[in-house]
Amino acid sequence: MNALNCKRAILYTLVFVFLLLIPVLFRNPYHLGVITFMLINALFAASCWFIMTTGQVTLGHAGFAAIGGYLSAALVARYGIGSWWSLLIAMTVTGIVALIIGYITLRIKGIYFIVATLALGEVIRVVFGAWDDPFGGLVGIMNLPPPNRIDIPGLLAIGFASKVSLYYLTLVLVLIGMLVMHRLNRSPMGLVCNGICLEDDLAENVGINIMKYKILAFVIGATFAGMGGVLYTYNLGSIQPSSFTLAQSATYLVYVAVGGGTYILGPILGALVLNTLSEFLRPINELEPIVFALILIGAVLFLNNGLIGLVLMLQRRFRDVTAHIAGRKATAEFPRSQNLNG
Amino acid sequence: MTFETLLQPLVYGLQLGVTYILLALGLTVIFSIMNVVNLAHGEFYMMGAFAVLYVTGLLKVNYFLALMASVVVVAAIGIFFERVLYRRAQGRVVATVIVGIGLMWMLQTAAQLLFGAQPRGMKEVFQGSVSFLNVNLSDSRIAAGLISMILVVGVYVLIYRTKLGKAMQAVAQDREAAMSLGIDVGKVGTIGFGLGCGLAGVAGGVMAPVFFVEPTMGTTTLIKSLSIIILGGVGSIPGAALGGLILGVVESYGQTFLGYSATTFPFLIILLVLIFKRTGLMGRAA
Repeated sequence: MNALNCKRAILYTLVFVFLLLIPVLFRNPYHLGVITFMLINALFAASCWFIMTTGQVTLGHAGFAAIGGYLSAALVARYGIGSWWSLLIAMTVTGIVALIIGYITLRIKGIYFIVATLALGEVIRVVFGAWDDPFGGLVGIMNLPPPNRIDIPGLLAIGFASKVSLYYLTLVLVLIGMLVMHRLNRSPMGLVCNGICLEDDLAENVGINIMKYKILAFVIGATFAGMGGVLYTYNLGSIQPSSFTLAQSATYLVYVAVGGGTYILGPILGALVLNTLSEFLRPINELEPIVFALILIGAVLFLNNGLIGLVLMLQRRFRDVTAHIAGRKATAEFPRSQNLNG
Repeated sequence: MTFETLLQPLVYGLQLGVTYILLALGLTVIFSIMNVVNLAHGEFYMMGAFAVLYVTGLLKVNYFLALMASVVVVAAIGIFFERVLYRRAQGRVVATVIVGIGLMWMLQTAAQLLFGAQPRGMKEVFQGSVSFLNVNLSDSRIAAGLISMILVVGVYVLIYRTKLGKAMQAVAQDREAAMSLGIDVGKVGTIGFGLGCGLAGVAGGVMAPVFFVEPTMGTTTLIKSLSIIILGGVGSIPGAALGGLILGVVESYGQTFLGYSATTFPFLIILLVLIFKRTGLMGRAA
C-alpha cells in the first residue's frame, strides 16, 4: 500500500466514523432529520450523475423517485406487505419501468433527450396525482407506519420507530447505493460509458453496443432513484405528488452541475454543500432560489468542472507549489477528461 | 351533445392557439439562432403579463400602449441576460440548460418578492362579449386573438421579407457560413434573443386580461411552448404556427371533455413526437 492509498484509507475511515457519530453529535431531532434528507438527496444526485456518465442528461429523475416511493407506500399502507419486501419490489419495478422507458427514449440525444425526460417526469407525477386507488390522488398516502423491525432471534433486533434508527437505515442503504455506483463507474463498464459520453459515434464505430450501455446506466441510476424514493417516504411517513415536480428533477441536475461530474464525489459534494447552504439560508428563506441560481450559474460558467474541478485544480496548484519549493519537478496529473459541462 | 358544445371549444382553442403561436415563435427563433432552449421562456411570458398589469394600473395608460411597453421591457431584460449569461454558455448543452434553470428560479422568485404570490386579474380592460351562432366569445379573447394574429403576421414579414430576417435565417442555417459572409453573428443573436423574449412578453400581455396573472404562471407556459415547437418541428416557423393551432384546439377540447387529465397533453405530445417522428410535422432532418 503506497502513501497515497494509505492517506485515502485514513480519510475514508474518518468520514465513515463521522457519519456513524452524527446522531451523537446532532442530538436535535430536527437537525438529524435534515441530515438524513441530505443523504437521500446525495443518493438522488449520485444516481442522476450515473445516468449522465453516458452523456444522456436527464431532467425527469424525480419521476423514478416517485415510482419507488409510491409503490412502497401503497404496498405497505394498502396491501399490508412488509416494508423490506416493498423496498425490493419498488426498486425492481422502478428498474423495469426504466428499462422500458430507456429502450424507447435513449435513442434520442442531447437537448431532445432532456426535453423528453422532462415531459416524462411530469407525466409520471400527473399520473400518480390522478390515480386515486391505491395512490390517493393529489392528497397522496398519509400516516405510513415505520419500517418493520428486523428480528433475528438470538442475533439482533432493530426497530425503526426512532429518528436515530431511521438515520442509520438511510445511511446504510445510501452508502450501499453509492458504493455500487462507484465500483461500476470504476469498472470496465464505467470506462465504456465514459467513452460513449466523450464520442458516442466513435464508440459505436469501434463496435460498442452503445444502446446496451446507455440502457444499463439508465436502469441502474433509476433503480437507485427508486430506492431514494422509498427512503424518502419511510423518513417522511407520507407521500404526495407535489414532492416530485420538475423543480425537484432540476435540483438533482443542479447538484451534479455544481459538484462536478468526473467522480461520484462531485454530485455528493454538490448535494451536501447546497443542502447545508439551504439550512443556513433559512432566515432569508424567500431569497433562497436567487442565491442558488447565482451559485449554479457561477459554477457552470466560471468553474471548469464544478466544485470537484475546483478542488482538483487547487490540489494541483498546491502540489506544484510545494514541489517547486522542494526543488522537485512539478507532477502533471490530470483527472479523467469526462466533463459534463462540455 | 349540441352543435354549440362542439363549436365553442373550437373557437376558444383557435384563439388560444394564435397566442400560443407567438410564444412558440419566440422559443423557436431563439433556438434556431442561438442553439439554446431557453428554459426561462415562461418567465418572460410572466414578466410581460405583469408589465401590462402594472403599466395600465399605475400609469393609467391605454392597454395597447402598455402592451408596447411590455414588449420593450421584456425584450430589454432578455437582451441583458443573453449578454451576461447565455452568451458565455453557448455551445455547451448542459450549461445552457443549467443557466435556464437558474434564470427560471431567479426571475420567478424576484416576481414573487416584488409582486406577491397571489393571482391577480385585470378583467376591467375589456368587458363585453359577442355571441354568434350561440357561441360566446368575450371581448378580451377577441382582442387577444386579433392582436396575436397581427403580431404573427408581423413576425413573418420581419423574418421572410427584411434584410435582418434574411440574416437571422442565414445564422440559423449555418453559423460559420453566415459569419464568413460578413454577418455580425453576435449582433443577430442578441436581436434574435430580444425578439424571442419580446414575443413571449407580448403573449403574456395579451393573455393578461383573459387569465389570471401570477408569478408561477411561467412553468406551464414553457411546457406548452416546448410541446408546440417539438410538434411543429424545432426551428420551423410554419411548424410553430401549425403546432400552436393544433395544441390550442386539442387542449380546448380536452379541457371540455376530459378535465384534469388534459394537462398531460403537452407532455404526451412531446414524448410521442420525440419517440416516433423526431423532426415533427414540418421540421428539417437534423
